[in-house]
Amino acid sequence: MNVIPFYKRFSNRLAFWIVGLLFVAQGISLFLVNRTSQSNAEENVQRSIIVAQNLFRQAYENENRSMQNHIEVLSADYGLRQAFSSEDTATITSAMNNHMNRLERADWMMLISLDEEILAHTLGTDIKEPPPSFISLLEEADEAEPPRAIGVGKIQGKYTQIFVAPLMIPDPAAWIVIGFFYTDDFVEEIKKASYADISLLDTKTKNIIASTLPQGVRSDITQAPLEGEKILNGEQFIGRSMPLSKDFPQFQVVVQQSMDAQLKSSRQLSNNLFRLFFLSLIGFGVVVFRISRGITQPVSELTKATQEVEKGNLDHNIPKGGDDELGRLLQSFGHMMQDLSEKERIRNLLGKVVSPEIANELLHHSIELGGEEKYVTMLFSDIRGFTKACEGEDPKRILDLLNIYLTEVATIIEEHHGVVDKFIGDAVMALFGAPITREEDPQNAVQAALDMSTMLVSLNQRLQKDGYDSISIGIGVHSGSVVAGNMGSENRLNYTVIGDNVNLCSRLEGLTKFYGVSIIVSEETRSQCPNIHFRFLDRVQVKGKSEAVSIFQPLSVALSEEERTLYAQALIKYTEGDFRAAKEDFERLCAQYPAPLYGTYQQRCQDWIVAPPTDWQGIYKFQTK
Amino acid sequence: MLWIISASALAADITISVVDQKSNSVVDGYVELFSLSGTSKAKVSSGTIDQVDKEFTPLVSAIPVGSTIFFPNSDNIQHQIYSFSKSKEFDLPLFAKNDTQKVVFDTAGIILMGCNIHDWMLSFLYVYESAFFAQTNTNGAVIFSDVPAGEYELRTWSPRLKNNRAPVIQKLSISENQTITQTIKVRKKIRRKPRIENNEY
Repeated sequence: MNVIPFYKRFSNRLAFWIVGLLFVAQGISLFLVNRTSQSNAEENVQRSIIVAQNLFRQAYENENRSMQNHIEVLSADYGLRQAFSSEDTATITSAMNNHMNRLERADWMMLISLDEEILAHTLGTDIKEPPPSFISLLEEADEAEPPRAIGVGKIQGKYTQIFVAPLMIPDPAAWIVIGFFYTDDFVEEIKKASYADISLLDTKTKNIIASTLPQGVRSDITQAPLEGEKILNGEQFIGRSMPLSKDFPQFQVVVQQSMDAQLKSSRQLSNNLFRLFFLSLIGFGVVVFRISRGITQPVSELTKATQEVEKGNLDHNIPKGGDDELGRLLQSFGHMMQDLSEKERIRNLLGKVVSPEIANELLHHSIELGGEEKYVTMLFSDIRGFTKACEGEDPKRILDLLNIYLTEVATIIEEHHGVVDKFIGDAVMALFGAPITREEDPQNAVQAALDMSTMLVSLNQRLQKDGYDSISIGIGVHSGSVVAGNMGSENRLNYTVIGDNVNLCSRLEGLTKFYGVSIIVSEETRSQCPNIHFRFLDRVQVKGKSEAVSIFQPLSVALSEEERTLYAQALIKYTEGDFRAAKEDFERLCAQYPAPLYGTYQQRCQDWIVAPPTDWQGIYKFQTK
Repeated sequence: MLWIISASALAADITISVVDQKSNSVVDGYVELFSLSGTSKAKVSSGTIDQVDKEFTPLVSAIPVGSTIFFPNSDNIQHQIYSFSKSKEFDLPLFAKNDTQKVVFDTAGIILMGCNIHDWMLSFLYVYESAFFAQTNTNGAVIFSDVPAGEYELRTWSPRLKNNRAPVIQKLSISENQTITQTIKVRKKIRRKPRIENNEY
């Protein structure tokens, strides 16, 4: 059996395709999940940044509004007016500190004269004059209507939001300046709500005003561009910037959200999915392999069994399959093989009991009693004096002898397409033309008879060597219509032929001894054998038959011309009833060509010279069988 | 009338045009020619600054030094008038209708008055010394006739002055008729707290 290459095996291909498809499907879904997670994360990051920006803006506006409200109250505050009018710095400072206690959001407060001189402040340290950023704000407020200004400046090295309004007594008498410092706490508050990192930058000086980022990475964010992706502290951040307010583009609020933090959960999901994917691939592979093995194993068992059947081995053992369809197929195939094996055994046995042709006829056609008329050539053979030879012999030896002889005979008959109809002791009845008719049946039968004669010579040598006596046989061959078919009882029947012609053939065989020849062929048969030499034997009327038949002896070598002529002359004289002349001829033949036949004729002529036959028509009538 | 009495043999007509930094006539200006030799003092009189509908009426007024200003209250609510001006600091108690207060302004200068319970209420009072004092006309000019020759301070003021707590002072020698253009830095309008209109009180 050819070994199927690994990649061509059905089970492997099935496993490969199913697992491959699963791999592709899982791969695609994993890819899509990853992509969706990534875009979700990006979306979330952008949303969170916008939220943080809005929160910052809101916090910033709230802070400003509350500071503006503070300063509005201050600008017409009775106490502050009183304090201011006292022109006593300590009193004014004290009044302002009193106010600072009331103002939750303000970090410091300052009172500046219309001539831009510091009158008092709450910063504690000695500040002589307002910082330049304050001066410009005072001028801006002075020009504005109402006279207010908001700005970002630096005081004591710290960035601060500055609010300016006049102290109205009842019109502007001095400038009230208040503010809050930008500290990390300010942005931390917003981070708590938005989870985004927020930094406030002075883009002019590249200073970080406030930030939620750890100190180590703060300087990194001041590098342009402020927006987009940035790696901070080994983490990927997405950033967006906006001006603190449209009035202060110099100050930028940069909101940053860690992409890694957003992707953390989706990465975890991805990893879990990948593990699941890997495990399911292995699990699926094992299951598919087992299923496909479950399919292909019975199939390959079937293939093996089929190949064994092809080779003629019907005894191949098929393993018991499972309880599924394939298992049943395997079982059925096993049963089929058993049946075939049984049939084959029967056929072999039948072939031994009957001839192969008959066995075939029996196996392929329904076995019914009854027959049909057929034209067949029959061959009857018999061992001469066999009954007598058997006397006193060991039956076993006789059976051995018979088996040797009959095997040879049967072989010759079958070689010439004859069918052994039956063995009757030492006798053999063979048919040529039943059940299968051939044109050359008569010739085959005669040739078989000749071969049997030849065979006997060598058989006798063998028998003599084994301590047997030589045997001689008689063979009768005749052709004619018979009834062929199954005969017997319903339960036990034989394929055979019956009819007058069968009897005649049997009679012809019986005549061989009389004429001293081993084979007698009827005229009917001889006429159909143009290629075989024959010697006319006699025209006889056998017992129980009203018609006379001419009988012949087939010859392997033709008679010499002289013998034939002499024999023909002798026969003419004999037929004409001139027995004396015939006798002379036969005597001459006997002398020249010694053969029992010529002796038989010489004796018959002698007899009829003494007592001539009545109503002579050249026919010798046998009164016995 | 005042200046006719104090007219001397040597006198001049002085015309003063007051313009702002953009050369526009200042029509709400006040001009005082103060004689450094101490002549031509303004005579004491009195005036009234009422409180009507939570506003001082008039917004700007002027009186000679030493004069008395009466503060009646035409509103149904009380007011509390104050001044932190150097020339006259005062803090009137809350007073109701028919409870007219009075203050004598005995020092020359600019007085800004407010009400402690109505932030927007504002009133300017020019307490002048000289008899030569006038508000600019519609052309932003002031004409003084028969001004005796001598050394003067030209004091120019407007409630819209950038520093409206004192007049702009310029030395001036008068010997003959003169036309002077005085430029002052003014704001477009008086700065005051906006009135809360929707509040009845």
